[in-house]
Amino acid sequence: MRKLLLPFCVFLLTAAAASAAVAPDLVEYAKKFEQFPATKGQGSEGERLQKLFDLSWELTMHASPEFATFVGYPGLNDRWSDSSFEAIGFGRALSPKMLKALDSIDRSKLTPADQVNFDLARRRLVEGMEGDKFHGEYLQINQVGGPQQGIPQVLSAMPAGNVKDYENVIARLKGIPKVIDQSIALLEKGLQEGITPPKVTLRDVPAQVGNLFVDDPLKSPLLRAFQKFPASVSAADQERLKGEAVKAFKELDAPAFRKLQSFLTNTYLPASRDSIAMSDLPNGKVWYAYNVRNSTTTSLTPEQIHQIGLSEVKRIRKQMDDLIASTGFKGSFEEFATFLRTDPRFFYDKPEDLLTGYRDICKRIDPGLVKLFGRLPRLTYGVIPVPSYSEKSQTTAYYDAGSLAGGRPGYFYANTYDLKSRPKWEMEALTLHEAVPGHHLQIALAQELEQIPQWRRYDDYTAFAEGWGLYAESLGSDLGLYEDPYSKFGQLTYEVWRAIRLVVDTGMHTMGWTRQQALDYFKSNSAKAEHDIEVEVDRYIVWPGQALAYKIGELKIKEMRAYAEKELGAKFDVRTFHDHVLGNGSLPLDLLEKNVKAWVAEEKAKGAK
Amino acid sequence: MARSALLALAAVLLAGGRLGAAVPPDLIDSSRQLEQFPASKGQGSESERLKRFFDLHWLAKLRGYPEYATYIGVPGFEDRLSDNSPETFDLSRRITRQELAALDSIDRARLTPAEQLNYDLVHWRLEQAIEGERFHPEYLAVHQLSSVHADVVYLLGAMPARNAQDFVNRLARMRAFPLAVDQTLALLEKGLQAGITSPRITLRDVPGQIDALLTADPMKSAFLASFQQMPEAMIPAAERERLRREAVQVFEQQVAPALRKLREYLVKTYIPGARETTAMSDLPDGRAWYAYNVKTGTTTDLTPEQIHQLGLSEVKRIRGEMDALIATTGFKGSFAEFCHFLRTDPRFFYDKPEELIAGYRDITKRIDPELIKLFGRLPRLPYGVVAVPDYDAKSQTTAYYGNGSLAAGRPGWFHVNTYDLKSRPKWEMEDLALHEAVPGHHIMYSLNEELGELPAWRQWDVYPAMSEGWALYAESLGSELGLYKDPYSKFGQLSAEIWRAIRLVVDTGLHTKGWTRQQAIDYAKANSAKPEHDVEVEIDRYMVWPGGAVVYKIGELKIKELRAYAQKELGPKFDIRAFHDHVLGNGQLPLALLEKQIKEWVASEKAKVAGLPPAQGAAAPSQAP
Repeated sequence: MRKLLLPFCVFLLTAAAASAAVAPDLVEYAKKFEQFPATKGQGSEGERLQKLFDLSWELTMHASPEFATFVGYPGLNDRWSDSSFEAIGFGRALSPKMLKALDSIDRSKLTPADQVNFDLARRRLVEGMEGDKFHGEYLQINQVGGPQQGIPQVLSAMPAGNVKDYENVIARLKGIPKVIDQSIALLEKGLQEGITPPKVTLRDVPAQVGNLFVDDPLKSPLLRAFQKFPASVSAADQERLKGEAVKAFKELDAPAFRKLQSFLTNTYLPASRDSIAMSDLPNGKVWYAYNVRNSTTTSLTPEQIHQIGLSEVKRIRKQMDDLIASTGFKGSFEEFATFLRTDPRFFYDKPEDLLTGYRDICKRIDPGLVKLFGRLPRLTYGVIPVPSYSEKSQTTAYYDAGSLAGGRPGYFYANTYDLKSRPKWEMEALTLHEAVPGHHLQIALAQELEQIPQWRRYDDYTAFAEGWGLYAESLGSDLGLYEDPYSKFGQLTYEVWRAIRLVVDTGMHTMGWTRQQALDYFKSNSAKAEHDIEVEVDRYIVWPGQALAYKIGELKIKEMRAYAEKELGAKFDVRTFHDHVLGNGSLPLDLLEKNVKAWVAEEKAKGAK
Repeated sequence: MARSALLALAAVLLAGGRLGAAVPPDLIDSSRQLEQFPASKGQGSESERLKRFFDLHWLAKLRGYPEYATYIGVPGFEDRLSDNSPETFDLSRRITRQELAALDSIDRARLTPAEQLNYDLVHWRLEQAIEGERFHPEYLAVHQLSSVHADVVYLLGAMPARNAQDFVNRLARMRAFPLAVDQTLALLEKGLQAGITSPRITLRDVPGQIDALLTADPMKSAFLASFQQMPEAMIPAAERERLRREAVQVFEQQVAPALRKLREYLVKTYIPGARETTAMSDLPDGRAWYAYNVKTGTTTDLTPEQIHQLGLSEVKRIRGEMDALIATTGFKGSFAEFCHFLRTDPRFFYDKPEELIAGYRDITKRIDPELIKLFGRLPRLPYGVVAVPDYDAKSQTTAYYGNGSLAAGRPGWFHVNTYDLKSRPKWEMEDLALHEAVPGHHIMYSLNEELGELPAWRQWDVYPAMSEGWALYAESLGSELGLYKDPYSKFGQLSAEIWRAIRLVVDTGLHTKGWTRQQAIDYAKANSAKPEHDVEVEIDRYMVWPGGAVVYKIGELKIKELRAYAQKELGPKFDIRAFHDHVLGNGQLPLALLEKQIKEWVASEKAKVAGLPPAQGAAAPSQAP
């Protein structure tokens, strides 16, 4: 999975809508959107569209300064986004104005490429407005996201090259109490409305918050930038900045996080709901259906998805059984899974060895990429451990996007907690998914696409991104991996896992499945480690519908590849196919299909000449 | 070092001498078009004419040197080898003159500044080639680092391997191998007659290299290595089987007999007849030849004597740093004892080749994410780490880089030598990775290839003073990239740096001051911790590559001088990412032109700060952020 930088429900254009602050600069932007329809006739419609995109981009940056940090947009690194009720209300009121501005453009006068841009922007706005009916902002905190993870993550993504950069970090350290207060206010409102995460998923959260206020402030994840300064900052400045950071931490941040921890322990957790299904929330059935549509970018119903899941589990399970037979293992599927989960040969003893193992796999894959892609990103990536403050509840690995402009590489985070749940046979599949040719390649490439508007370089359809990540796992053999049968079994384990998600997510959120039922179904069809299975199921509980995107997206990409191979025959070139899948940025699946088919038709026409 | 340095040498050889019978018809066609070029005056602007000339120049180069086309990923030349007949050799010399006449028919004053730079660079190259015609590098066709057998194996490994046609092309090149061997033998024979041969001592491992290729099972020969890894998805099983059978047949009937013939000639005739001296100055016209190599290699006017002195003073400076570092580790003993400890203590060595390679993969994957702190623009092409192939591991250096090509679907490769693990200490690994892979050769070569605004020939043009100077400079970036935390690794860097200073002393010593091989080995050992086996391989390499090894330090000193200049002039406005982008953003340049580019950039930055318009002609690399 990809680490979404802003767990405070911020997503691009809708992001702006959900978290806009009523700061004067934002009020100015709102006015500009209101006045936009009157600019009709000033320049071509294409130019007006570009102007509107520029305006939205600026608004997004100002409304979500954390996102500006993430993309390397300068000048806003000293502030947090405003999550006050006023700001949220303001953002919701802004969406219709933006839509009106967009609709003042005559779509028929745009180039085909701009029509796509127009359609995508419109789709985002309409979806966002539809989503405003629900109250995602009340679900501020859970075991895989929230200020206790988002704040240190933003701080560590900030540039730290000179004195000004450090002053920005200090300004944000000073702003933390306000962020926490706004979060608590939203959580309280959620309690009143009966919109909270299931209690069972919150069990580790107070401890996660506690990890942030350690005795020695300089050891807190919040102050990591102050542990090592670049040579360009003078010794005197280093002392001064360190002093200010420690002061802000002691006087402002530690008390704020203590307050959050005590609120969670004493008030929020006891009152949060016992049920796990999204359908148990007010308007929950509709909300879940909305999430499913949003996450898969298809019109598949939860019931249809459940059925696809059952049939995929069956198909992949068959391949797993065949592979077990080919290894000569004597015993049942369960016994094989136990062997994989427990035999010491599959595990490292030291965290550092696990990381070295991942680096080795990455560096084996890197050179093979040119055989599968004509165009590769410039941005590099590295492998580092999941920070200790969140490792216990985090998944096995995730990817955190970098930024060329921001001078930040992509990072493949590997979880080194509980090494007995990190078997070697999953490492190849996981690397293919999170690093290359999965998330890093797709996301870095999208960021570097010059022919699409800026906002689209960062736009993110889960079905596309995660479908691609899962598809990438299937490319292992082409890249010289999966030579070991256990690693191949690891791939199948990962594939069946994403099929299981279709069954379990829809099961829990619409069909009354209990958490235990989900755990049992998962365990009986997968060799994944038990700790992992629990973390996974808890994640589906707090991110309803999100986990469906993987398998649904992958099936579409595989369908497109089979289509192109069949239609083009000997003329099929896998490098060109991949370049076309990734060359237009993240897309809803229907548009991806349209693009690939147009390319195939073009290739065929070439052949016919 | 970069494998391309060897290839560049091969290019000189191949461009320099051709024997046999088959003048490539397309090369004759190139010559005809170049001959007519001056008459095109007035057809289009001078800029357009320059562009047309570059197209002709580029095509002539690819036609004359199809191996080069393969290395850089230009398709269409993959079924042939260069022709080294005397007729083609004469034609090549004629083409050089035709090119110069064509270029001179273009009015330089009417070109843009960027075009003038390209014009000057190619003019300089052509003049150099003509000046070098009095020497005979083509006679030195075989030595321990480059020879027709090893070069063709390397070539077959570098060819695309995506579909059946790629393997049909390999078969065609294997069929051309016997002629290439015959032409090589003719050149060696001429060399013997003229008294121009490689030093005998550098030939001692060559017969063994050939033996290693003559395996009992042809499929196990490095010649056929790529036939063992055919892409299953793109070639049906029956077709793969047929291609493999044909490869075995061609190997048995054509390649192996030619290899045996080459081996026999070397053992019976060439090696016994090769010279026992090692100095280039002992060759006919050798002193002038060495001076020519040094001048064209360093792209400066430094004399061999000046370089020797510079070497002595650099050795002294770096030696001081090494002694200071030894003192900080608390080691009790002399420099020689410390080096002995570094060369022999088991803690510094791996037991298994795959551990060494995994160690390099770990280091490179630690460097990768840090690069973005030092560069605004990075190449798209990825790179990997592989072992030096067995057939030439014994005489190969510790590591080298092989260019990739995005177009050809070939990554950059950092080759590491796993032969004799006792001569591959861990403390040299970080330094080597920085040099050969990133931010050294891989970054520079790949970026150069991807500079779309340069004419094609310049995307691949290499000035070793810049390319090796850059790679040596890259070694000094280790601390900025989070390496050299271990004092032994830091010592490894100093050890590598002093090594390049030693080269200034021993290369000039060996080739112009009458130094013996042993004298060179002793001087090198006294000042460096390098393992003995490595020291010998290196010294032998300088013998067959006169002047080649001095460019590293000369280039590095220039880049460091320019960084210090920019830092001083720009003060707090100095941005290391922009500096590196500007050093690499204009392609490969002779050092004087690199200096000019950087000074213009600094001037334009200063003008920006002062609010003035940028200086006239300030050449920012057009794709730098």
